[in-house]
Amino acid sequence: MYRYLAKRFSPPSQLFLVHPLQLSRFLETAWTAATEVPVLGQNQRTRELGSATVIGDFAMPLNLLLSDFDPGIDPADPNSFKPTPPSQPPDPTQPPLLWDHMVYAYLIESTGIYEIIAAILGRIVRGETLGKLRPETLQWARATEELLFRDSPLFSVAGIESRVRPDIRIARRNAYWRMFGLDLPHSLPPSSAAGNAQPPWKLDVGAGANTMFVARWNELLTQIWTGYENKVNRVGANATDAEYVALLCLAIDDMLGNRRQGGLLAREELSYVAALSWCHLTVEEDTPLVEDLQATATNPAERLAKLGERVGMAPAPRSRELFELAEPMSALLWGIELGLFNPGQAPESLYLPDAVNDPPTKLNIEVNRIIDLWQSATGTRIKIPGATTYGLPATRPPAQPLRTPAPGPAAMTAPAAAPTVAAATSSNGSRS
Amino acid sequence: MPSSKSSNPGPGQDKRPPDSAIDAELAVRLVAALEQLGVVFAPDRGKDDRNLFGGTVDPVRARASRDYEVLRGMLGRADAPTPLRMRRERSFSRGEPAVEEQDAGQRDAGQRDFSDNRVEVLDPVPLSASYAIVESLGDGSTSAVTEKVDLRPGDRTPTLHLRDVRAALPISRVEIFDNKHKLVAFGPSFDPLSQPHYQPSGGR
Repeated sequence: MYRYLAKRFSPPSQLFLVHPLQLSRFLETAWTAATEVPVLGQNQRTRELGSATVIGDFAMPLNLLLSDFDPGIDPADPNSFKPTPPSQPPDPTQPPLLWDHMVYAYLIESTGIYEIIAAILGRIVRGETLGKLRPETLQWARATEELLFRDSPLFSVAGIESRVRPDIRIARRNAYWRMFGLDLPHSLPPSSAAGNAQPPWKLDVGAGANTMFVARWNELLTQIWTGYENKVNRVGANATDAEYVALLCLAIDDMLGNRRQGGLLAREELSYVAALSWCHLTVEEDTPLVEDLQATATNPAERLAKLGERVGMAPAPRSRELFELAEPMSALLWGIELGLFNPGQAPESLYLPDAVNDPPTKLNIEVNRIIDLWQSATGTRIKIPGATTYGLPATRPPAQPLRTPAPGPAAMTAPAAAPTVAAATSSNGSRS
Repeated sequence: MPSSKSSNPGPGQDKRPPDSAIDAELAVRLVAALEQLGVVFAPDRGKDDRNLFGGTVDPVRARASRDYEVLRGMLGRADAPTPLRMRRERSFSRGEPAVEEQDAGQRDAGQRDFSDNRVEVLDPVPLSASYAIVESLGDGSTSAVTEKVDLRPGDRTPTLHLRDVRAALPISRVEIFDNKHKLVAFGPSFDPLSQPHYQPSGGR
């Protein structure tokens, strides 16, 4: 969200100079603008959010938005307020867009960036141990504290914190657990950790957690790689099964859709993705903070590691892969949730170009990259070598299991099984 | 046993092969036959999916890849098509007459081709933009409609006057392509335009 907006500034770090009130209002307009996203496939609009009416259900009335909540952001002058002309669409700074998928927030937070930024911010506002900082860095600190570490403005669509869910860290972990059956690889800071036997973000979730997501996802990537390997195979045995790829996509689509019924988690997704995109933007280039703390580097993971050193923290060992995986995996999961690869659509487009012997499409390239990054980040081998020594049996596992994929485990009524799965998946992103 | 090999010519003799004369009519027929062979064996690259130059495009796959490109553009990815702000309105909403164009066939038939709505592009289109495709999924009474609108070179904020996609139909997407049919930009979806309110002109 904020990274998208930052692209309109030159340099993008100028976004940190915009008043946080305007940035907060930007989320409000971005929510409203989601009604104008182009219709993809043969779907209803905003089908991927679990409801065709979710935007209108929670959006501020347009007249109120324009009269009292106009962000008025002017990329040419970050310190100004430029009111929207009445004849313009709701948001003068943004074309219609969709925010990133929840998996983007999960992957970026898995690097440990949120906790490192919290520690840096704490040092900035409580003392002078980080040395002399430029005014731009202090403006970043003010905006970060307002946007990430304080309750959102009253009645804001991104206002997630309340007395019912007072800790945003736990709220985010709750969403990750429900959507992907995944925990963050690092533990909660002591101030947030409760003394319950069960992690607080799993309370009241019941069976509503996609504990089979990782298994289905790994299986999908394996099948796609099989198709990728065999795309020019015309003579030998070809284990590619496009219909099975489609069934796996449908299973993941159903699985995630079950968590979104009626528009559940849509506001949370907007809020969490925006927060983590702010963190991502902070290390995406040599921003004033990075320069002031002598953390300049050539990629976000290196910058984050250097920033962490200043406050005695280390990011996840596979941060580089997690940063690079976040964007393409977000797009692919949206594509799956839009039903682009379901049965009857075009599952082959994941691994085949538009025409035989054409160069690979952007989708083909990106899916291959996702496979590389996912197996590197998680340690799960997807690209199993297919070539074997002549005369010896192949090491490839069976092409597909007997049963067609289902969105969840057969017995969905046993919440006691959840902690076991959590233990099995909580190491994601932290393997060395 | 007679040998088929020619005997070694003696020194001083001409080594060039003897000139051979060919009948002019035969030559013409031979050339025609060779040309015919050339035509017969010319590769049909569009239909041969084994060739190295690209085969027939699978429309379903191409559509899915294009949808994915639009999705990446919506998320603001680098090197993705550019999302553009657009506005849809009735062609006469600002007191202008509806655009009216006729081609020869329609003129003969006495039909008029009105544009009752238009899409105004608010952000500059990419310099390479060549034409726009406006898609509507239709409504309960109409199936999907697709309309191509050519863009005038140099017009960075064009207005698309729509004829096939009527005002009462929703627009699912506006796509802008370059002259190599590459998707370079896209616009939002639009709801059907509401019926205009006509004021009675003082009648009793």
